[in-house]
Amino acid sequence: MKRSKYRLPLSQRIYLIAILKGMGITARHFFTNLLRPGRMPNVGYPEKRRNYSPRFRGLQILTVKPNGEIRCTACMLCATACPADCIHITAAEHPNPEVEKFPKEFNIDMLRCVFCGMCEEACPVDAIRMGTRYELANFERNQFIYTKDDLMRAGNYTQSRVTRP
Amino acid sequence: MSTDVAVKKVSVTIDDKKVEVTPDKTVFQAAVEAGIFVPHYCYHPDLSIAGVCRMCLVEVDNAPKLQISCNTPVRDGMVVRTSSDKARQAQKGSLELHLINHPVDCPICDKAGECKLQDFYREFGLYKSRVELEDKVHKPKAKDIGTIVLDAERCILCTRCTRFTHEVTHTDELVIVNRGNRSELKTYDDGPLRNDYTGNLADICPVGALTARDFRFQQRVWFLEKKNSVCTMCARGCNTTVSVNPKTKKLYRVEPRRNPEVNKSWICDTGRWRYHYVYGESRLRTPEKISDGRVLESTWHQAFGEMKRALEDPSGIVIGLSTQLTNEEILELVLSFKESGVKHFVRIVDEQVIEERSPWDGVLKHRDHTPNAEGFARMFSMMNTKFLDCAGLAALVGEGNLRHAWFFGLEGEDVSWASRFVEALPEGVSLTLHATSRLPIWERAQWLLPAASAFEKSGTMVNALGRLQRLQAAIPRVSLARDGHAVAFGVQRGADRDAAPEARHVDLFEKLIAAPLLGREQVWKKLDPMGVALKERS
Repeated sequence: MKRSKYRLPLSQRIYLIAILKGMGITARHFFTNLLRPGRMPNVGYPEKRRNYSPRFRGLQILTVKPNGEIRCTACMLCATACPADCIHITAAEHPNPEVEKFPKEFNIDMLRCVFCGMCEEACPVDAIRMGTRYELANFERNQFIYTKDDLMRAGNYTQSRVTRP
Repeated sequence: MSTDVAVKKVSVTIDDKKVEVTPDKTVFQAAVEAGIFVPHYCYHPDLSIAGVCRMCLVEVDNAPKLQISCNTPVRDGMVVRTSSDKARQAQKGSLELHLINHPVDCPICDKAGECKLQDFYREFGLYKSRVELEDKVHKPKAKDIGTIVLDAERCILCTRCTRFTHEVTHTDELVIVNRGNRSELKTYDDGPLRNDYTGNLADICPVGALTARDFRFQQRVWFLEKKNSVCTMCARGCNTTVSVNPKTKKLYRVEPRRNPEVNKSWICDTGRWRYHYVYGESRLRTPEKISDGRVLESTWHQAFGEMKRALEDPSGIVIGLSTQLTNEEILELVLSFKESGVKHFVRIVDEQVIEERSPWDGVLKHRDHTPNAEGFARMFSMMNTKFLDCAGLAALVGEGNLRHAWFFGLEGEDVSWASRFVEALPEGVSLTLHATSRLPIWERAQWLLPAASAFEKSGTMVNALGRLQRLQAAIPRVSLARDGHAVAFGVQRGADRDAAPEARHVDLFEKLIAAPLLGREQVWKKLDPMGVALKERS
C-alpha cells in the first residue's frame, strides 16, 4: 500500500495543544462541580432516582375490573400487534356466561419485549397498559416471563418508590 | 352437463363488462362469472335462493328501483351496475340496518377475521353509528346447542343455516321465531342439533352467530394458514382445507373446500372433528417392542434390523396394507417387498361394508371408513399383483409356514374393523404393526411402529366416486412417526443410518402412477386441486 503523502502540520504532530485543551475542559467541570454541586447532572442511583414521566413505557400492567377480575377478553389483538412476538395468550371459556372469554394464561416474555407500546394501542378494552416500572433485571432467564398474576399485580406498583433527586 | 341441444346464451353487461351466460342464471351468478364481487350474506352457491339480506342490491337499467341481484333472472341485453353511487348507497344502508342490533363484540367473537360484517363494513360501510347503545335488542348469547354455540344476538337472519338444515340434512332443527327486530334464531323446541353435518353451520354463518365448540377460542383465524387437502375419514374423500398455525405448527381445524363434484361445500362432523387423534394420548410416538407383555421403547434402527433379518426367508412373511395408505405408499411398499421375494399381500379394509350396495348415507358419508379402497384396487391391478382378503389370510395361516405378519398404515383410533385381521393370526406368528395410535386391539403385536397420519403425509388417493385427489402434508410428523415410503426404505437397508429420500411421492406419482391412471403425463404440482375423475375400472 502506498503511503499517503499528506503530513500533519507541526501543531498537530506534537499533540500537546490538544492534550492541554482536553485537560482544560476536565478541569473546568471539576471546579464548577466542586463549587456548585447542585448543578451536577448525575443522579446518585439507586439511592436517588430520576422522576420519569407517567407516559414512560415500562413493564406492562394488566388492568382489572371493579370486581377485581381481569379486564382482558383474550381477543389477541395485542399479540397480533406485537412486533417482538412476546405476548402469549391462551384463551378459555369463562365460568360466567356473561363474560364468555378470558385469558387462562397471559405471559409476556420481557426478554423479547421492545417496549414499543403497540399492545397498549391495539387493546380495544384498555386491559393492557405500559406501566412505569423499569427495574426488570433478574438472575434467571425464566424469571423474565411475566405471568398473568405478575402483570395484574404490576398495577399496584406506584410512583411512590421514585424519589426526586 | 352435456346436453345435445346447445342452450342459447344471453349477454349481460355488468359494470361495463360483457358476459354470456345461460338464461337460467341470476344476475348475481352472472356477476360471479364475470369476476365481479357483489356483497352478500344470504346467497350461498349450494343452497336455495332466499333473497332476504338485501345486501346485493344493484342498479338494473329501466327498473325504477334497485333489484337484489341474487334473485333477479338475467335477460338478454341487460345492463347492470353493481357499484354505482345509487347501488353503493343502498348496500351501505342495508349494512347499517344489519348492524343496528348487532352487539359488535368482535373481541370475544370467534368469527372475527373472517366475518362478513367486518369485511363489508370496511369495504362498503364506514359510516358513523347513528344508534344509541341502550336501544339494542338483547337476545340469548352463547347458547349451547350441541356441537355448535348459538349467539342469537349476533345473528343477521340470513337464513343460511335454516335452509341448510331444511335442504341438505332434512332435519329442520333451526328456525327463526318472532317478527321484526324480535326475530330470533332458535333450535326447534330448544333442543340440540341432531344431524351429522352440524359443523357446516359454523362455516356458512356469515357472522358469529353459529360457532363451532371444537374451535371456540382456540386460535384467532388470522394466525392460521390454510393448506388444501382431502378428508380421509371415509371413501367420499371430501375436499378440505387444513388450518395450521405456522408458528406452533399445530393443526387447529379442518374445513370443507368447495368441490361441486364431490362434496359441494359440506363435510361431515366426523371428517371435521376426528383429527384429534393426531395429538391424542394414544398416539404412538416412538417404535415400541413388546415382549412378554412388557412395552419397551425402541428405535427404528432396531426395528428395521429385525425386519431385514426376517426378510431373509420371505416365504414366511405376509404383508398387510391398510386402504388408508396413499397410492404412492401402496406402490412403494408392494414393489419393495416383491423385490425381496414376499408373495402374500393382504388388503386390510372394513370388509363388511366394502361389498354393500347402498353405502351412502344420503348426504355425503360413505360407510367405508377408509379413504382409498378404490385406489388400492387400482394400484394392485396396475402391478398385476393379487391381494388376499381376511378369508385368504386365514387360509394362508392354515398352510402353517407363516411366521411374520407386517401390517402397514393403520390410522386413527376407530379401526375396530381391522381387528379381524389381527385375530386371524395364530399365536406363533409375530405381528409388526405400523399404526398411528396404540389401541387395545393391537395388544398381541410384537412391534408397534409409529405411522404418519393423513395430515402429515402427501400423496394421492382415489375416492369411491373414482376421483384421483391429492393429499398434502399440513403439519410436520409427530415425534418419530414415519410414512410408508420411509418404512419401505428402512426395511430395505435394515438400518436407520440414512434418511429416506425426500418427496418420494412426487417421483412415484409422476413416473409410475400418472400415466396408467390418467392416461397422460402429469406434473404433481399441477394436479388439479379439485381432483381428476378417472375412467371406470375394468
